[in-house]
Amino acid sequence: MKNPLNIPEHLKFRASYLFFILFNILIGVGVVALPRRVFQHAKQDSWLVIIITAVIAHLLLAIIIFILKTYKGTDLYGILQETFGNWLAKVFGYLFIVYFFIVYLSALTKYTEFIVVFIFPQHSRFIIGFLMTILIAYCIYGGIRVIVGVCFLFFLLSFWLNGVLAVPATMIDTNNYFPLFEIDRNGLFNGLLVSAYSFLGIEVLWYLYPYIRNKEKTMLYSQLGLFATVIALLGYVIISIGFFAPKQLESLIWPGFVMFKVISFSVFERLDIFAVSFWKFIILPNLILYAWLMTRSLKRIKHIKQKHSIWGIIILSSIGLHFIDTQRQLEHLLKIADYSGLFFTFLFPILLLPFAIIKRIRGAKNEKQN
Amino acid sequence: MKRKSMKKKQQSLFPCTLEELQTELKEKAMNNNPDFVMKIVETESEQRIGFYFLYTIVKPQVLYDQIISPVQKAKMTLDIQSIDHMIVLPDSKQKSNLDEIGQLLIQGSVCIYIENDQMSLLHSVPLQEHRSIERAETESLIFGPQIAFTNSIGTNLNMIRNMVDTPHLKIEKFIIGNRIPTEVQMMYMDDIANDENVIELRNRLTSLRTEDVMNSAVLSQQIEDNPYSIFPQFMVSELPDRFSYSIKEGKIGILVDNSPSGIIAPITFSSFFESTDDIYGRWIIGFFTRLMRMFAMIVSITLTPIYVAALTFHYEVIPEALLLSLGESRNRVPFPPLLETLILETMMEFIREAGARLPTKVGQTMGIVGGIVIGQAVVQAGFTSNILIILVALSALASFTTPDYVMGSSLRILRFPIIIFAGFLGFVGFFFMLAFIIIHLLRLRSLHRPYTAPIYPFRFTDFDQSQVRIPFVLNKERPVSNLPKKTERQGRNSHNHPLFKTRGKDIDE
Repeated sequence: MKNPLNIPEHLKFRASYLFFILFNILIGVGVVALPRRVFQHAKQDSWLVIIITAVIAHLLLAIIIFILKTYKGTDLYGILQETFGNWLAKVFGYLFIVYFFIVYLSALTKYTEFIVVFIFPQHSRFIIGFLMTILIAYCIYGGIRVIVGVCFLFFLLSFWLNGVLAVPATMIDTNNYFPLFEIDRNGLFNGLLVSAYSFLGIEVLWYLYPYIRNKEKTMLYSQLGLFATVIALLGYVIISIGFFAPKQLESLIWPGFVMFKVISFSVFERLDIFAVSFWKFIILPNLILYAWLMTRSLKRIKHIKQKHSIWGIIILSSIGLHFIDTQRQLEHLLKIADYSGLFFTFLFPILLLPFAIIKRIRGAKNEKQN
Repeated sequence: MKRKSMKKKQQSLFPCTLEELQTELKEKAMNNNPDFVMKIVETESEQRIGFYFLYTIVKPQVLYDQIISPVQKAKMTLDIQSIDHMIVLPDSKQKSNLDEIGQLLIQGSVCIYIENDQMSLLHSVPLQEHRSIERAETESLIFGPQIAFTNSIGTNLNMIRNMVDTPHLKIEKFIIGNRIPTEVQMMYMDDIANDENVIELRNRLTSLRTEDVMNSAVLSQQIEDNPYSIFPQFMVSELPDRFSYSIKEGKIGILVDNSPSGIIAPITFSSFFESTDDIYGRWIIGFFTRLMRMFAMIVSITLTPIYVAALTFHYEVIPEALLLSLGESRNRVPFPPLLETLILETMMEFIREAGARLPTKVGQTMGIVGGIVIGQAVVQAGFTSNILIILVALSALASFTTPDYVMGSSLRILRFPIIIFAGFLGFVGFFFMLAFIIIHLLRLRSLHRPYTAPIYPFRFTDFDQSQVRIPFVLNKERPVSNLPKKTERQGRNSHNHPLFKTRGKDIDE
């Protein structure tokens, strides 16, 4: 192997944490807008579209893990080096970093957008975003174990919020689901494209794989994590289709948060305000993982210390936060993130797959010869 | 050069007369201390024997009975060896160096010298005044033995030895302090405690360079993983039963001389919310109290910040019925909620601190004056709202449920930054601070072991001994968070319990 990765044993974590990591990186800012975006194209059959995309995502995840297993314990950069050589590996590595940064920045600005729209119309986004980056840097300084811990604990703290959606679920009008299976080819394609954006993030495995202690369980837990995400996404989509009238759903920007509006407790009148602030616990692991991916791949390519590169990311994202301040720019950024995500998440593993298969066949032949 | 010449002079001191030795010792080694005395005894064989000691730190009874009177009664000619055989005390040394003799005298030894001899004999009879074993004051218990450690390390060791009387209890002794050496004892079960932990703690103790160790609380701060953190990373407990219980579960304990408390390491965040009372009481009570304490901890840091955030920015969050009564009680208050809360929280801290510093009898009056009189007056004067008084009192009360006083105080201080952030950024600031605290807790280490165990790293089998408590019958394993060598408890055969004998039988069989 060209690039053996020697991860110290005390830094490795159990594969079962992959469940929480995948759930956290997949459920982010996108889920609040997802019902509307899918519904625009697929109407009542949105749930079908989500299921089809989910099946594709499960297959892709299996492909990624298959490739990682073939190259035994190295990460994406090591694989690229072995298949394409140093130069192309570096190009792809940098492209990935740019992609990670775009996703990271769009998620960060999107979250500040939530807060500005829902809670503080007068506040500058910069301060809110900057506070987030402080937390991200503080967490990354703790190392991989702390990052995994944050994913795990924040999942425990925040998953009940999805359960609260049972309240709008009781107000569903079942007529909204019918008629079934009326989707045309164009709608299906566009719907698939849109719902694919919710599955960006499974590429975290490319760099996380060497850190897993019991690698044989990787497949089980990451697929489970993906499955839990699918259930959550389906829940959001199905409940919002039933809850809102079709015309209404198309006009709402963030149907996810609007559903929280109807929930009220005897001591808490409007849960949406709470949910938007509490969304920090959902979005933070997501951002932390992307920031870690950037610092980690920079370390692999250029040997820059992670504690130095994280400051570069903070400065760059602060600049980005400062300049992206209109809704239009943000939408533009999100679009770039989505399209590049399609390539890096969905096409890239398929591109690598033939090389991995060839390597496997050769490996088998070599074993026979020996 | 100077030192060399002094050494020569000292070597040439013996043999000398008793009076010469007295003046030498007094001037050179004793710094002209007034409590340095010499007693001369003449035996029947007309030998003159001198006893030198500091009368403030030797036990007079032992000195007379065990040392002076046997020598006095001796009929034969005595030399150093025969005197040593006569005295039945364990710790004897023969010295001729003046400095060394002086050092030992300060530590409570008696120097015996036969006139014109080459050597002097030293016996240790130190007198250490300390409190007798008393009731625990800061960590009070309901069911437990209710005794606390004393100042004497001997007494403390005796208590621990009695509670853990097995040869597996290993004790290691360290002398720490360059200027004033202090005795420190580290103890653990050598068949249970994790080797890495023991080696790590031993390294920290031996590599500690300090002038002196005041007591165990100071020592624990000197060897902590992260001294900047607000949370304590070692537990300092004054309860011998808690100390011995932790050792039996595979933790390491440290006792410091002259200190009425012991250090327990490694520790987790949740263990600060456990009390030995939970173990002595029935398991349902323990289960409930532990969960309640955790809940109280969360309430104590979040209640007032939520009030500030909701009233400053998020009126719409408050239900209509509550909003009316809130508005009614706040309509005379001239301050913003943030200032109002900070004033009242600070006042609460004043009352608590004054109560802690004042003598007990005055302290009670203080509590009544502070709590009732000022509380009433503040509301009537329109300084704060009634509801805030309830919330502040409630969160103060909740913070006192923490069995560990240090942790309780940390949590109370932690409230202030959360309140300030909630006052400036509402729920966003509030959750920012909460996330910060959680990440900080995840980053903390105690002896390089995760502080948030057993929640993260998730160890399900440990929950029955940390967050909750289950019946002892079901409790078969030691907590794996301590990484013990043996997890299975010895000689526990729970299948003999009547609870497990009913399998396959019907009622009334």
